[in-house]
Amino acid sequence: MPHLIRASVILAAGLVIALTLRTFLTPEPLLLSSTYRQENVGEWTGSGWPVRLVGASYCADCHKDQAGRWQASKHSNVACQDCHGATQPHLDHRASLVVDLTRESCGACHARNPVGPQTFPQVDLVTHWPSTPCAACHNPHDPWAYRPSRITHDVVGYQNCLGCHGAQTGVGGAKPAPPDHASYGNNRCQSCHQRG
Amino acid sequence: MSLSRREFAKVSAGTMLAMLVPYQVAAEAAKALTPNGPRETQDPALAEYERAAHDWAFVVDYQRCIGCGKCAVACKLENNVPLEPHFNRTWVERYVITDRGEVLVDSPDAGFHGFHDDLAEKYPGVKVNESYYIPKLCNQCDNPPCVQVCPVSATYKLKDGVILVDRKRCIGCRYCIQACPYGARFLDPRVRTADKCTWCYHRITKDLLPACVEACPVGARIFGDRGDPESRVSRILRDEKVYVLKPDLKTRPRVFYMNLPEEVR
Repeated sequence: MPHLIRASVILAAGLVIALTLRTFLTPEPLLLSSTYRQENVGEWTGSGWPVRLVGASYCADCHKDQAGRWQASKHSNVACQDCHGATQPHLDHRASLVVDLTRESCGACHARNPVGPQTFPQVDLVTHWPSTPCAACHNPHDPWAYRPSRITHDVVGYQNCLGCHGAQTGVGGAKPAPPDHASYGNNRCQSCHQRG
Repeated sequence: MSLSRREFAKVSAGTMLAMLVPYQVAAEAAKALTPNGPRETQDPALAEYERAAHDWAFVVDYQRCIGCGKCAVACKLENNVPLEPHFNRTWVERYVITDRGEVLVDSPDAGFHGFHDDLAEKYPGVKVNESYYIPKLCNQCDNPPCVQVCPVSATYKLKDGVILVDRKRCIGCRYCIQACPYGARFLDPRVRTADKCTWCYHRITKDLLPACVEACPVGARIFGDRGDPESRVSRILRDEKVYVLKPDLKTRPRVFYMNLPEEVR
């Protein structure tokens, strides 16, 4: 009998020593979850994964005027890339960025949409100045600056003026151009009408 | 050859100890060969980043989401995700609850192009009671089924909470894709390995926000450090009503949804 007790004591002691040693000798990641390859974490943060969408502060280094205006505007939550697209080609080799200024592009956020928060500014693209690009009145960097009372009339060319002042679009309080102006062609309206 | 019992015990004990030595020597040798620690810390931009010091969490305020899809676009550009509509690290779902209590969910092109279609055309004859958008992404679960099922330990969880996939180890068996209850994983057709959202690990380790958070124009996506009690996510988790997706599965997600409607849970 005593030899059995001795053997089991030795076995138990061996087990305790082995388990204790294992705690000290096993590398941390083995205990943490699985036997993952430590270098892989570096592969996910290293040069294979460049930061492509740079923040506005990065853009502001060169584009000070636009960034300053944008920063103070209602659009300050909209990242540069949301409208200007991927910035990487521009940063890599000065490729110019093409901004989609179509009404559909603005409509991605602002088109009438019954789904989602109804407090968000929405317009009906069908009735709200249907033939005029949004940017003719709303500066994308400062959308509230050009609300109707403060429209600065930067647009030139008869056809563009008709976007708001055409006979059919006389919505929103804009005076339609008189019918006899139709023969004036594409002369600059500003040659008679001073910007106010 | 004969051994006394004492000699046998000595030899076995010695052998057991000796078997531990090469392992320890190898570990020490590996440390000596990379004097600055593992390769990840050699990236100068990462010199400041300490994994154990962060406890990342993601909050979705779905009531702000307008379904513009800028997050999905930013994610694909930032992370070089295949542009085909079926491969997505993050996406936006549109929920429509009818007057009869039916829940209709769709996500055209994962929300990449926004939602321009007319609800009345999409669901003719349906009376809409309620409708909203739900942004989705990898939940970086604290009890991740994907990590458990991976037969080659290619996917693993870090101390800061993020789960990554080792593309060199992944054998493309798709077990993890099956195991994920949130459908957050896909097989990258170019490299034939599993892929999923990393919360832009290359950005958050450099003190930047994930691309989708950066791109969201309405602040529906909020990211931060749960370990910092003053961070915005900490405040939200403390003060607001937050839910996780499929809580009954006990996956313990790290993506929290504010005021989430019953239909989504």
